[in-house]
Amino acid sequence: MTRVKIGILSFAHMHAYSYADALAKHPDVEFVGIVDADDTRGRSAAEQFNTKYFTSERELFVQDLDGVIVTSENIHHHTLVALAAQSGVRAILCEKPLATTIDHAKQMISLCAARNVKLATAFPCRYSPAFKQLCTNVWTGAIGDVLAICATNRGSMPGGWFIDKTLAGGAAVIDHTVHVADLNRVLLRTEAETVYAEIHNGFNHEDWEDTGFLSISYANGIVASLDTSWSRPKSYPTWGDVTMQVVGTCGILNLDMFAQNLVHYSAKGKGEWINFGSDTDAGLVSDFIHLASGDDAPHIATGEDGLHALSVAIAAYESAAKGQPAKAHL
Amino acid sequence: MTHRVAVIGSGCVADTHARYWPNVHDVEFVGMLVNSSADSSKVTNTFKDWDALLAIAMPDIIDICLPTTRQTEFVERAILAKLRVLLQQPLANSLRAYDELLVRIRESNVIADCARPSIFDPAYSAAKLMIEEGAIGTPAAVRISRTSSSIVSDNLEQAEEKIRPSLTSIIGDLDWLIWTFGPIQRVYALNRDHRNDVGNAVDCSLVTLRFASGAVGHVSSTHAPSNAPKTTLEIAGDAGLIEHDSSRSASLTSTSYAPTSRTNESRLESPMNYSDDATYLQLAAFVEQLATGSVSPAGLIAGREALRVLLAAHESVKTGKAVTL
Repeated sequence: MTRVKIGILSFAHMHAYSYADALAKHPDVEFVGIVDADDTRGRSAAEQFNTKYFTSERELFVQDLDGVIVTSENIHHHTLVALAAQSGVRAILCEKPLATTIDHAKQMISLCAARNVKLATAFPCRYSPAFKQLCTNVWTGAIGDVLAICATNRGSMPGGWFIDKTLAGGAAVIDHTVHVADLNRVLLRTEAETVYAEIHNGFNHEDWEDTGFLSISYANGIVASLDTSWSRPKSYPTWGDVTMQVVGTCGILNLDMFAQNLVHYSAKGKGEWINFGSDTDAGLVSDFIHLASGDDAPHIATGEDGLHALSVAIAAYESAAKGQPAKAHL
Repeated sequence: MTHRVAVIGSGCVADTHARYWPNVHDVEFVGMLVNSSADSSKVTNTFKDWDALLAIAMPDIIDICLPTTRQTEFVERAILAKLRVLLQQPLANSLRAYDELLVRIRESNVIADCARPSIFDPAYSAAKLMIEEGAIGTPAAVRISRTSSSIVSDNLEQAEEKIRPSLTSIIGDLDWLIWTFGPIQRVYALNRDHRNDVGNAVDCSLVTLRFASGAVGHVSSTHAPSNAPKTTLEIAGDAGLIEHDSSRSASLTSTSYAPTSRTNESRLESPMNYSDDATYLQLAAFVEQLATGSVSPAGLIAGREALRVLLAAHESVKTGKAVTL
C-alpha cells in the first residue's frame, strides 16, 4: 500500500505533539514534514518526530501531500487552511475551534468544497469509547428521551497565545465550549438554538475571560449547561476534563471521560493522574488518514460540524455582552 | 430551663427532627402531630389532633416540618397558643406572602426562626471556613449539583405557576451561596420535567447565577425515581480550589446480597456524632438562642433573600430571560 503523505502546519497548539506522535507511529503514514512560524519550535518538533523541517508552506506543499494538519494559533486557521486547500491536498484536519469568526469558518468550508478538499475539525472526544457507549445507550433508549445535560470541560489556564484574544479569538469560552457543544450535537442529533452565558475573569484578573458558565437550549426542547472554565489551579492533577450527566425520562447516564486513571504520588511535587484509557487523539488521526487516502471517515467531524460548535461559543460571547440569551447563528 | 418540643408533620424532615430532638440539651421531646393517614409507629407520643397535642404534651416550642403552603396555618396556631416556632424554608411561595408572615410574627411577638440546613452542614460550613481563611483566595466560580430521589408528584400536576420541586429543593443551597459569596445580582434558569406512564416523575433544573462580587455560580438539581441522593460542591478562586462529592466522602457503604439477581444493592452513609450533625446543630442553635435570650430572626431574613432568588429562577424558567435582582 502507498503510504499516505501528511504534513503539519505549526506546532503552536500543544495538540500538534499528540497528532504528530500518532502520525509517526502509524504504519500507513509518511510524516513528510513540518512548517512553523516559530523556526526553533518547528526544528525541534521535526527532530523529535524524526521528520523534515521546511521553512515555508510552499516548500512543504511541493512534496505532493495527501493531507495537512493545521495546529496553529486559532486566528491563523483561516489562512493556513486556505493555503493548504489551494495546494491540492485531499484532506485537511484543522484544530478546534475551526475559526475565530463565523465568516471565516464559512469561507474555509466554501473554499475546501470548491476544490473538493475534505475539511475536518479536530474533535477527538468523539473517539472516546465511553462517549460512544453513552451514545449507544441513549440511542437504544436506555434512559428514554433525553431531557437535560449538565456538562463540564474545565481545565487549567494554558497561558501563551491562548490568552491573547487577537490570536485565540477569545479565551476560556472559545477554547472549551466547542468540544462539548460538538458532543451534545452528536448525541442529541439536533442544533443549539439559544445560548446564555455568564463569563468572568476572577481567576487571573486580566482582560480575558477565564470562567464561562453556559446554558444551551436545543431545538427539540432539551436543555444543557456547560462549565468551560479554566478553574483548575496549577496544582490540579490533570489539564482538563469532560463530564456529562445526561438526564432522561427513564434514567440518568454519567460520563467522566478521563476517569480511567491511576493516581501517582511521588516523593516530590504534586500527585498526578496517569490515564490508561484509550487514546482519543490516535482515533482522530487514524480517521483523518482514511480521509487523506481517499476513503470515507464517517465519524470524523467535518468543517460544518466545527462551524456549528463555533456558533455556540460565538453566541456565548454575544449573550455575556448583553446579559440575555443569544441565538446560535450560522 | 427544659424546653418541651413538639414536631408538626409526617414527612422525612419531621421524622428526622423527631429523632434528633431528644438528644438536644435542655430539651424534652414531648410529641409529634401527624396527619390521620400517617404511620405513627416510629414515635410513641404521636397525636393526630392539635388540641390534644397542646393539652397532653404541653409543648412550648413547635418545630413545623410541613410543606410550604401549610406553615402559615401552624404559625397562627402557635401565636394563639403563645408557643415558640421553628419553621422550614421556604416559608411561602411568594415574597408578598412571606412578608405578610414576617409582619404577623413581628406584631404578635412570637419567637420564631427558620431552619437553615445548609448553613449547619459540616461540609458546607467547613468549606465556608476555608474560604474565610483564604484557602482559595478570592472566589470566582462555584458549582453545586444535587440529585434527589423521587418527588411529590402532585407538584407536576399543578398549574405552570407551581415552582418545580427540583428548584424548590435548592433553596438551602441558595441560602448558603448568599451567606458565603454575598448578594446575587442576576439569575438564568432552565428546567425540563417529565412524568412517565407509572406516575414517576423526572425533574431537572439548571440555574446560573451572577453574584454582585462578579463571581459566577451554577446549581443543578435533578429529581428522579430511585435516584441515589448525592451532592457535589466545587468552589474555585484565584488561589485555589475546593471540591466535595458526597458519594466519595461517605464513610460507610452497605451492600445487600440479592439472591435472585447478579446486581447487589449498595447504600452509602456518612454517619456523624450527634453533636456534629447538621440537623442536631440547627436544632441546638435555636434552643441556644432561647437560652441566651438573643433570638434574632436571621433565618427568616436569610430565607427571604433565598426565596427572592428562587422566585427569580422560576421567572427565568417561565420567560426564557435572565432576571436581574
